[in-house]
Amino acid sequence: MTFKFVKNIIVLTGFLLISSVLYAHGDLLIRIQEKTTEISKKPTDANLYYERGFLYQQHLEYQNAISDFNKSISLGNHSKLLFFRMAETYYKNNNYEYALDKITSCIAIDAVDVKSLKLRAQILFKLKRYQETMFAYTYVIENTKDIRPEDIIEYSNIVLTIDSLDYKGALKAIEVGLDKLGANTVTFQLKKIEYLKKSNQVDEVVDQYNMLIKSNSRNEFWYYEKGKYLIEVKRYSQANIAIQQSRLAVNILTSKFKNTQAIKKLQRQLNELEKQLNYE
Amino acid sequence: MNSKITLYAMLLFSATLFSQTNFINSGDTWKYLDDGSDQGLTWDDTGFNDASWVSGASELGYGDGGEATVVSYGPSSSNKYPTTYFRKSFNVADHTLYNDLVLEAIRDDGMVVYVNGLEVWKDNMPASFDYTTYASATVGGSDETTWLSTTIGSNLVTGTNVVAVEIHQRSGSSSDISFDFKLTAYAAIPTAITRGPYLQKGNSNSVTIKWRTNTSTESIINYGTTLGVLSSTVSENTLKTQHELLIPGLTADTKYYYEITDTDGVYVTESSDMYMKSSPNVGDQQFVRAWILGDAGTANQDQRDVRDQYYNYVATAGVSPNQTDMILFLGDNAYNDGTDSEYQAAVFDVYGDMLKKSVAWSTLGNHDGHSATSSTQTGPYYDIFSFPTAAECGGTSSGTEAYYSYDYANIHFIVLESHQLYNDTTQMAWCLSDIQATTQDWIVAIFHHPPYTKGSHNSDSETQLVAMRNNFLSILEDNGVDLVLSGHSHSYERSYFINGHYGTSNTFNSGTHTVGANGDLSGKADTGDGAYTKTDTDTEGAVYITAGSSGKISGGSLNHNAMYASINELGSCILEIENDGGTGQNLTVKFLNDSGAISDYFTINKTGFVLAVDDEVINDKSVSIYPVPASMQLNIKLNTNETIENVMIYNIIGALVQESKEVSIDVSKLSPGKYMVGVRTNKNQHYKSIIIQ
Repeated sequence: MTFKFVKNIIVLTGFLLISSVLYAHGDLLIRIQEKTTEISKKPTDANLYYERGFLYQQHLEYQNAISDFNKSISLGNHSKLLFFRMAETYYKNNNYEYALDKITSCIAIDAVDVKSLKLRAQILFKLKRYQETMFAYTYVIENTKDIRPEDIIEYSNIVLTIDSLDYKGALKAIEVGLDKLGANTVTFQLKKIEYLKKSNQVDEVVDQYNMLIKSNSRNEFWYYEKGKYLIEVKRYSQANIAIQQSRLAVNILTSKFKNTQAIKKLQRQLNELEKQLNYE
Repeated sequence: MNSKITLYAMLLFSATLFSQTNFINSGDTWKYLDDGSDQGLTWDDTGFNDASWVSGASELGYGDGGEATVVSYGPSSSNKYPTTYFRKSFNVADHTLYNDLVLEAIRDDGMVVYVNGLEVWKDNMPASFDYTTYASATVGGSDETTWLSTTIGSNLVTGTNVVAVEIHQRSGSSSDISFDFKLTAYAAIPTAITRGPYLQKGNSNSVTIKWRTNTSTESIINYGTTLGVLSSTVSENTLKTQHELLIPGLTADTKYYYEITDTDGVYVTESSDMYMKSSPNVGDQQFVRAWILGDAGTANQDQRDVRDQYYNYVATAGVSPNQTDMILFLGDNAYNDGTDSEYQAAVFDVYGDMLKKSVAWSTLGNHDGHSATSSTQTGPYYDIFSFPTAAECGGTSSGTEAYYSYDYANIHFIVLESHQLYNDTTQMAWCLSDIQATTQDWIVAIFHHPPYTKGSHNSDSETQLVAMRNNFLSILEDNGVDLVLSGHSHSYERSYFINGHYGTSNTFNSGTHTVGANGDLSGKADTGDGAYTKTDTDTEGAVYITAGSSGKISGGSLNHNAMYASINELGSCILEIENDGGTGQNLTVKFLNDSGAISDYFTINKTGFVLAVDDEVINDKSVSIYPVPASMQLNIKLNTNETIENVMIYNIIGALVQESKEVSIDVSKLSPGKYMVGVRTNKNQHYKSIIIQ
């Protein structure tokens, strides 16, 4: 009986292990297997190797992906998308010289595709070819119709990587984002605060917090952040006002918000700030 | 399919009513060049000398066996020529007779069509190309013999006209190409709808309507609250086939019927089942129903069965029948790659009846992401949908359609992008700001990759799933999220009422990760288990649903420990929020399977929907400031034996705007708004908030 029980446990454990492997990566492995079966039936079909290569790439099997992409090329596939995926794969695998070579082939086919040009800029950045990066990224920012906040943020980060003190340039990039995507885009407002703080533009930081306070119906968190910053820059009386405003903003919240973890944490943080103020 | 039938019916109708001439027919003889050469930029011109090209009847091509003319692919079967060129001349006696051209083609694989040197139609080709460029995707199966069609404004001339076509291989080793073509000229082709209408970006005072037509025309919507009296109009005179009109100035929570017209007349007539309903005012408590579809886009009978069961459900619902306030797509809306044609087949041809009267929202799925890129917001997904980027529908400006939020009644919806932006700190920062800015009673979050699943995907190990759990769940839970909806796994899995579980399945502890006395039970309100509950003091707890079986099921171990229910059935979810008979509300979600049975359901009951408690009650009682709101005079009264030394009034950004030592202060010069009053006494410092009217 005991042996049978142990045996069952072993079988069950084995089954669970197999299950966990089988489903560890969702349906990607299954799709790779299906594609491999297709390839065995049509071994000279360049597209199938491309398609399996892309599956490998998603499965983070970069060497297999590159191998399939090269096979696809040898069978006559010279499409832009293939070169883009190869460049992307090399980039993800930190092989930037190869990535640059492939994205160059891609751009040779389509010189105005901003998606390819953006990847090229990212590769150039990794290669520390900063001037070319700036030139390439500027083009992307200026020519992408539906730019998203992440692009602008990345652009501003590149500006600071090239010159860690160029907050003027980084803020200019953020202003471009605000201009393109709307003055209330919160991501840019937060980044702007970060850059203003790092460049010690205290009044501008306060103005920025005030802008956020004015543009939100709930502003207890912004008052807190403002108060915390004002303590950092030793503007204690202003900090006290911000802390009190945060407390009052919490007080007028309905109970269901007041009792969330986030607000309870905020109240603890406000207490800490007041303690700090009392020491000053 | 319906749109194609409509188009052909219209064409048939037009043949009897409108002047038409078939200038090119299937089987006609074409000049062609199949030597793999680069013909540069002038080969498509009318005056180009194609005397050296050979001729043959269509269908032209190779590899399929049914061609009337077999063309060459060059010396190497594994490195076939990428491009083959075709030209055909025809004579037009009087070009003024024609305003529209209908072009039809069989193409395998990519195609670019020129009429008199002007590029007028490109299919399955990248934006930029030359003679070495391969087609964007493989054309196979029935697509190899399907006639595609498009309508263009006529650029024919009196005399000789030329249609030039270049067919591009998919790859050097691809086995076949095919080409056949028809051109019919019309005096005027009647406008017909080929997609939609469908509703987007609804809020309490506007709705956006999108649709596609067979020919370029004006965008005009007539609308009104009564059928037969559509007296309001919004229009845009630019001629286009992709139409998008914002209907402004609507009254909240009101149904408006509409029709679509152009200067030639109405081509989508008003009907009792075609309307837009503006959202209720933000914060209003009322009945709301949302239809939730995950991984639906198979375009097969399974998908239709799931749809039909919902249609039947909503038509016969005991409460608010025929009311679907919104459709929530959880991603993977059109298999396999989210292309425009796949969206037509899996979304517009399947859900057209609902899309014309319920606003649709969506999150990007991984299959949508095959053809769409969030980093550039390009591709069919982003072309088809229009989502708010600047808080047009409530919430906080995200600046991107990839992730956004909106309000409907007293519900705040947060839509995240989990396919490409799962580790994106920008999205995280936005999410935190957004959820901490809402004052809505309910919070629902939506993203494609589920934080908990053991279906056809595994949340213990897959990158996006783990990342979404680690990066976003604490933000959502700490700020009061009630419901999280995902897809990706093709099954239905529904959690207990949980909080704070960010590990793998085997670390889930029902004792510590469930909330409330019955959080580890079913949440079924009509059983002894009872509904899950949230109050104004007990604010924790959320239910997570993985609902990716609206188009197919894929099984899996289905044994995630956080799940109360794990069901391998086709179906969709229905979210309903209604008053609980008292002062609270019930949020109920039902899983409706493809046989019409409710396989699972649960309810979250929430109470504590009260307005902010008077500051006087909950705050410092030792000082009273009145009246609030004030307009002329503000009075300070100390309730202790303290003595006022100074009173300071600060505006919303903390600037001192008035100072006094009196107990009665003239505030008539202050602008309306929120202020804070600081009262310094001989013993204490008191702060109170006031409103100046």
